[in-house]
Amino acid sequence: MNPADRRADKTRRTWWQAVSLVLANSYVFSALKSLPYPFLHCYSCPLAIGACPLGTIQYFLGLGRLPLFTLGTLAAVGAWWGRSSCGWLCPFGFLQDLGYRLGRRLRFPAPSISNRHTWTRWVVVGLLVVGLPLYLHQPWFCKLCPAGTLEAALPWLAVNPQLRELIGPLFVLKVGLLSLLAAAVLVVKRPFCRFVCPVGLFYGMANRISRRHLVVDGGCTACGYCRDLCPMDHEVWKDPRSSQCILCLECTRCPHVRPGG
Amino acid sequence: MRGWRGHGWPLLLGAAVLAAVLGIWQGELPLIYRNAVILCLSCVGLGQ
Repeated sequence: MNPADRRADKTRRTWWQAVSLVLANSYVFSALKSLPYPFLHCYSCPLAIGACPLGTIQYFLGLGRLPLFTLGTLAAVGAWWGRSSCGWLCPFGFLQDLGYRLGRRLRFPAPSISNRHTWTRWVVVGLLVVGLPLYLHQPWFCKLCPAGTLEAALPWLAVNPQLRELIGPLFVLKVGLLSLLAAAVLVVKRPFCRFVCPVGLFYGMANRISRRHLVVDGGCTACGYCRDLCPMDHEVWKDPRSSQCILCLECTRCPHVRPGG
Repeated sequence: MRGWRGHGWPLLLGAAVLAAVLGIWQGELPLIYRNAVILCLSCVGLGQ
Protein backbone atom coordinates (compact mmCIF):
# COMPACT_ATOMS: atom_id res chain seq x y z
CA MET A 1 0.00 0.00 0.00
CA ASN A 2 1.47 3.36 -0.96
CA PRO A 3 1.61 6.35 1.47
CA ALA A 4 -1.28 8.19 -0.24
CA ASP A 5 -3.56 5.15 0.19
CA ARG A 6 -2.52 4.87 3.84
CA ARG A 7 -3.44 8.48 4.53
CA ALA A 8 -6.74 8.03 2.69
CA ASP A 9 -7.58 4.97 4.83
CA LYS A 10 -6.88 6.80 8.08
CA THR A 11 -8.91 9.79 6.93
CA ARG A 12 -11.77 7.49 5.91
CA ARG A 13 -11.95 5.94 9.39
CA THR A 14 -11.85 9.36 11.02
CA TRP A 15 -14.78 10.40 8.84
CA TRP A 16 -16.75 7.30 9.83
CA GLN A 17 -16.10 8.09 13.49
CA ALA A 18 -17.04 11.76 13.10
CA VAL A 19 -20.26 10.97 11.21
CA SER A 20 -21.17 8.36 13.84
CA LEU A 21 -20.58 10.92 16.61
CA VAL A 22 -22.94 13.36 14.89
CA LEU A 23 -25.60 10.74 14.07
CA ALA A 24 -25.54 9.31 17.61
CA ASN A 25 -26.30 12.81 18.86
CA SER A 26 -28.85 13.91 16.27
CA TYR A 27 -31.98 13.71 18.36
CA VAL A 28 -35.03 14.56 16.27
CA PHE A 29 -37.68 12.21 17.61
CA SER A 30 -37.64 9.69 20.42
CA ALA A 31 -38.88 6.56 18.61
CA LEU A 32 -35.36 5.30 17.91
CA LYS A 33 -34.68 5.16 21.65
CA SER A 34 -36.23 1.70 21.64
CA LEU A 35 -33.17 0.52 19.68
CA PRO A 36 -29.76 0.09 21.32
CA TYR A 37 -26.68 1.68 19.81
CA PRO A 38 -24.13 -0.89 18.58
CA PHE A 39 -21.55 0.87 20.79
CA LEU A 40 -21.25 2.59 24.16
CA HIS A 41 -23.13 5.87 24.17
CA CYS A 42 -25.17 7.35 27.00
CA TYR A 43 -28.91 7.51 26.37
CA SER A 44 -29.19 10.25 28.95
CA CYS A 45 -27.26 12.58 26.65
CA PRO A 46 -29.61 15.47 25.73
CA LEU A 47 -29.14 14.72 22.02
CA ALA A 48 -28.94 10.92 22.16
CA ILE A 49 -30.95 9.24 19.42
CA GLY A 50 -30.74 5.63 20.69
CA ALA A 51 -30.40 3.54 23.84
CA CYS A 52 -27.12 2.61 25.51
CA PRO A 53 -26.73 -1.19 25.31
CA LEU A 54 -25.07 -1.34 28.73
CA GLY A 55 -27.68 0.83 30.41
CA THR A 56 -30.37 -1.35 28.85
CA ILE A 57 -28.73 -4.59 29.97
CA GLN A 58 -28.45 -3.31 33.56
CA TYR A 59 -32.06 -2.13 33.51
CA PHE A 60 -33.31 -5.53 32.37
CA LEU A 61 -31.16 -7.39 34.90
CA GLY A 62 -32.57 -5.10 37.58
CA LEU A 63 -36.04 -6.20 36.47
CA GLY A 64 -34.93 -9.82 36.65
CA ARG A 65 -35.20 -10.26 32.87
CA LEU A 66 -32.72 -11.27 30.21
CA PRO A 67 -32.28 -8.45 27.62
CA LEU A 68 -32.68 -10.72 24.59
CA PHE A 69 -33.14 -7.98 21.99
CA THR A 70 -30.11 -6.00 23.13
CA LEU A 71 -27.87 -9.07 23.45
CA GLY A 72 -29.14 -10.32 20.09
CA THR A 73 -28.37 -6.98 18.43
CA LEU A 74 -24.85 -6.88 19.88
CA ALA A 75 -24.24 -10.51 18.91
CA ALA A 76 -25.48 -9.92 15.35
CA VAL A 77 -23.19 -6.93 14.91
CA GLY A 78 -20.34 -8.88 16.51
CA ALA A 79 -20.87 -11.95 14.31
CA TRP A 80 -20.75 -9.92 11.12
CA TRP A 81 -18.35 -7.14 12.02
CA GLY A 82 -16.40 -8.37 15.06
CA ARG A 83 -15.19 -5.46 17.16
CA SER A 84 -15.25 -3.03 14.22
CA SER A 85 -17.90 -0.87 15.93
CA CYS A 86 -15.26 0.11 18.49
CA GLY A 87 -12.85 1.21 15.78
CA TRP A 88 -15.21 2.80 13.29
CA LEU A 89 -18.35 3.98 15.11
CA CYS A 90 -17.91 4.40 18.87
CA PRO A 91 -17.91 8.13 19.76
CA PHE A 92 -16.12 7.50 23.06
CA GLY A 93 -13.39 5.54 21.27
CA PHE A 94 -13.14 8.37 18.74
CA LEU A 95 -12.64 10.93 21.52
CA GLN A 96 -9.90 8.74 23.01
CA ASP A 97 -8.21 8.52 19.60
CA LEU A 98 -8.34 12.32 19.33
CA GLY A 99 -6.95 12.67 22.86
CA TYR A 100 -4.02 10.39 22.07
CA ARG A 101 -3.32 12.31 18.86
CA LEU A 102 -3.34 15.52 20.90
CA GLY A 103 -0.87 13.95 23.30
CA ARG A 104 1.43 13.15 20.38
CA ARG A 105 1.15 16.74 19.13
CA LEU A 106 2.05 18.01 22.60
CA ARG A 107 4.98 15.55 22.63
CA PHE A 108 3.89 13.83 25.84
CA PRO A 109 5.65 10.53 26.58
CA ALA A 110 3.83 7.50 25.16
CA PRO A 111 4.69 4.39 27.15
CA SER A 112 3.64 1.10 25.57
CA ILE A 113 1.20 -0.41 28.08
CA SER A 114 0.85 -4.17 27.90
CA ASN A 115 -2.54 -5.73 27.16
CA ARG A 116 -1.87 -8.46 29.71
CA HIS A 117 -4.12 -6.79 32.25
CA THR A 118 -7.26 -6.52 30.19
CA TRP A 119 -8.86 -9.02 32.57
CA THR A 120 -10.00 -5.91 34.44
CA ARG A 121 -12.91 -5.77 31.97
CA TRP A 122 -14.24 -9.04 33.38
CA VAL A 123 -14.24 -7.52 36.87
CA VAL A 124 -16.13 -4.48 35.56
CA VAL A 125 -18.72 -6.67 33.83
CA GLY A 126 -19.09 -9.09 36.74
CA LEU A 127 -19.39 -6.41 39.39
CA LEU A 128 -20.89 -3.30 37.80
CA VAL A 129 -22.86 -4.57 34.81
CA VAL A 130 -24.23 -7.88 36.15
CA GLY A 131 -23.64 -8.36 39.89
CA LEU A 132 -24.71 -5.10 41.48
CA PRO A 133 -27.57 -4.32 39.04
CA LEU A 134 -28.93 -7.84 39.57
CA TYR A 135 -28.91 -7.65 43.36
CA LEU A 136 -29.33 -3.94 44.08
CA HIS A 137 -31.55 -3.13 41.05
CA GLN A 138 -29.43 -0.08 40.27
CA PRO A 139 -27.35 0.56 37.12
CA TRP A 140 -23.99 0.75 38.87
CA PHE A 141 -21.89 0.88 35.73
CA CYS A 142 -23.84 3.97 34.62
CA LYS A 143 -23.29 5.59 38.00
CA LEU A 144 -19.53 5.50 37.43
CA CYS A 145 -19.35 5.57 33.61
CA PRO A 146 -17.05 8.36 32.36
CA ALA A 147 -18.82 8.31 28.98
CA GLY A 148 -22.06 9.18 30.79
CA THR A 149 -20.32 11.99 32.67
CA LEU A 150 -18.99 13.48 29.44
CA GLU A 151 -21.99 12.85 27.22
CA ALA A 152 -24.86 13.34 29.67
CA ALA A 153 -24.03 14.80 33.09
CA LEU A 154 -21.89 17.73 31.92
CA PRO A 155 -24.19 18.69 28.98
CA TRP A 156 -27.27 18.53 31.24
CA LEU A 157 -25.61 20.78 33.80
CA ALA A 158 -24.71 23.18 30.99
CA VAL A 159 -28.24 23.40 29.56
CA ASN A 160 -30.15 23.20 32.87
CA PRO A 161 -28.56 25.28 35.65
CA GLN A 162 -31.21 24.11 38.17
CA LEU A 163 -29.64 20.65 38.14
CA ARG A 164 -26.47 22.08 39.67
CA GLU A 165 -28.23 22.03 43.05
CA LEU A 166 -28.26 18.23 42.82
CA ILE A 167 -24.50 17.85 42.60
CA GLY A 168 -23.27 15.49 45.30
CA PRO A 169 -20.38 13.14 46.16
CA LEU A 170 -21.24 10.71 43.33
CA PHE A 171 -20.93 13.46 40.76
CA VAL A 172 -17.55 14.50 42.19
CA LEU A 173 -16.41 10.88 41.93
CA LYS A 174 -17.66 10.68 38.33
CA VAL A 175 -15.87 13.86 37.33
CA GLY A 176 -12.74 12.57 39.07
CA LEU A 177 -12.84 9.34 37.05
CA LEU A 178 -13.42 11.28 33.84
CA SER A 179 -10.51 13.61 34.63
CA LEU A 180 -8.27 10.62 35.29
CA LEU A 181 -9.27 9.12 31.96
CA ALA A 182 -8.82 12.44 30.15
CA ALA A 183 -5.26 12.61 31.46
CA ALA A 184 -4.61 8.96 30.58
CA VAL A 185 -5.74 9.25 26.95
CA LEU A 186 -2.99 11.79 26.33
CA VAL A 187 -0.31 9.18 26.99
CA VAL A 188 -2.01 5.76 26.66
CA LYS A 189 -3.84 4.44 23.61
CA ARG A 190 -7.57 3.96 24.32
CA PRO A 191 -7.27 3.07 28.03
CA PHE A 192 -11.04 2.84 28.57
CA CYS A 193 -11.54 0.50 25.59
CA ARG A 194 -8.68 -1.77 26.67
CA PHE A 195 -9.18 -2.04 30.40
CA VAL A 196 -12.79 -1.09 31.16
CA CYS A 197 -15.33 -1.24 28.32
CA PRO A 198 -17.85 -4.11 28.65
CA VAL A 199 -19.20 -3.55 25.11
CA GLY A 200 -15.68 -4.04 23.79
CA LEU A 201 -15.37 -7.22 25.85
CA PHE A 202 -18.57 -8.57 24.33
CA TYR A 203 -17.51 -7.76 20.77
CA GLY A 204 -14.00 -9.01 21.54
CA MET A 205 -15.40 -12.47 22.22
CA ALA A 206 -17.18 -12.34 18.86
CA ASN A 207 -13.82 -11.45 17.23
CA ARG A 208 -12.81 -15.09 17.61
CA ILE A 209 -15.38 -16.24 15.07
CA SER A 210 -16.54 -13.07 13.31
CA ARG A 211 -16.86 -12.82 9.55
CA ARG A 212 -14.57 -9.82 9.47
CA HIS A 213 -11.07 -10.47 10.78
CA LEU A 214 -7.39 -9.96 10.12
CA VAL A 215 -5.00 -12.31 8.39
CA VAL A 216 -1.22 -12.24 8.88
CA ASP A 217 0.74 -13.92 6.09
CA GLY A 218 3.82 -16.09 6.41
CA GLY A 219 6.19 -13.24 5.52
CA CYS A 220 5.64 -11.52 8.89
CA THR A 221 8.89 -10.99 10.79
CA ALA A 222 7.25 -9.82 14.05
CA CYS A 223 8.96 -6.45 13.66
CA GLY A 224 6.29 -4.68 15.75
CA TYR A 225 5.24 -2.20 13.05
CA CYS A 226 1.58 -3.26 13.38
CA ARG A 227 1.69 -2.68 17.14
CA ASP A 228 3.00 0.84 16.58
CA LEU A 229 0.14 1.51 14.17
CA CYS A 230 -2.53 -0.13 16.34
CA PRO A 231 -4.72 2.23 18.43
CA MET A 232 -4.98 -0.59 21.00
CA ASP A 233 -1.26 -1.39 21.20
CA HIS A 234 -2.04 -4.92 20.03
CA GLU A 235 0.65 -7.25 18.72
CA VAL A 236 -1.30 -8.38 15.68
CA TRP A 237 1.14 -11.09 14.58
CA LYS A 238 0.66 -12.97 17.87
CA ASP A 239 -3.11 -13.24 17.58
CA PRO A 240 -4.91 -11.64 14.62
CA ARG A 241 -8.28 -12.59 16.14
CA SER A 242 -7.54 -11.21 19.57
CA SER A 243 -10.34 -9.68 21.62
CA GLN A 244 -8.20 -6.53 21.71
CA CYS A 245 -8.39 -6.00 17.95
CA ILE A 246 -10.92 -3.30 17.00
CA LEU A 247 -10.56 -4.10 13.29
CA CYS A 248 -9.74 -0.51 12.45
CA LEU A 249 -7.40 -1.86 9.74
CA GLU A 250 -4.64 0.61 10.61
CA CYS A 251 -2.25 -2.38 10.75
CA THR A 252 -3.03 -3.27 7.13
CA ARG A 253 -0.53 -0.57 6.22
CA CYS A 254 1.95 -3.37 6.85
CA PRO A 255 2.12 -5.47 3.66
CA HIS A 256 1.91 -8.69 5.71
CA VAL A 257 -1.47 -7.94 7.30
CA ARG A 258 -4.72 -7.92 5.34
CA PRO A 259 -8.42 -7.96 6.18
CA GLY A 260 -10.23 -11.28 5.81
CA GLY A 261 -13.92 -12.11 5.52
CA MET B 1 -10.22 -25.98 5.17
CA ARG B 2 -11.35 -23.07 7.28
CA GLY B 3 -12.01 -25.06 10.44
CA TRP B 4 -14.88 -24.48 12.83
CA ARG B 5 -14.27 -20.76 12.93
CA GLY B 6 -15.47 -20.47 9.35
CA HIS B 7 -18.88 -21.68 10.52
CA GLY B 8 -18.88 -19.75 13.78
CA TRP B 9 -20.16 -16.43 12.57
CA PRO B 10 -23.24 -17.75 10.70
CA LEU B 11 -24.22 -19.75 13.79
CA LEU B 12 -23.72 -16.72 16.05
CA LEU B 13 -25.61 -14.50 13.62
CA GLY B 14 -28.50 -16.98 13.48
CA ALA B 15 -28.66 -17.23 17.27
CA ALA B 16 -28.44 -13.44 17.55
CA VAL B 17 -31.32 -12.85 15.15
CA LEU B 18 -33.38 -15.48 16.97
CA ALA B 19 -32.67 -13.81 20.32
CA ALA B 20 -33.58 -10.39 18.92
CA VAL B 21 -36.85 -11.67 17.46
CA LEU B 22 -37.67 -13.39 20.76
CA GLY B 23 -36.94 -10.13 22.54
CA ILE B 24 -39.33 -8.23 20.28
CA TRP B 25 -41.95 -10.95 20.78
CA GLN B 26 -41.60 -10.63 24.56
CA GLY B 27 -42.25 -6.89 24.31
CA GLU B 28 -38.77 -5.61 25.10
CA LEU B 29 -38.80 -2.60 22.76
CA PRO B 30 -41.25 -0.54 24.85
CA LEU B 31 -39.22 -1.34 27.97
CA ILE B 32 -35.97 -0.22 26.30
CA TYR B 33 -37.74 2.94 25.16
CA ARG B 34 -39.20 3.65 28.58
CA ASN B 35 -35.80 3.31 30.22
CA ALA B 36 -34.02 5.39 27.59
CA VAL B 37 -36.35 8.39 27.46
CA ILE B 38 -36.40 9.02 31.20
CA LEU B 39 -33.47 11.10 32.39
CA CYS B 40 -32.10 9.01 35.25
CA LEU B 41 -30.49 11.62 37.47
CA SER B 42 -28.71 9.13 39.69
CA CYS B 43 -27.31 7.44 36.55
CA VAL B 44 -25.62 10.64 35.48
CA GLY B 45 -24.34 11.21 39.00
CA LEU B 46 -26.84 13.82 40.16
CA GLY B 47 -29.30 13.72 43.00
CA GLN B 48 -27.23 11.69 45.46
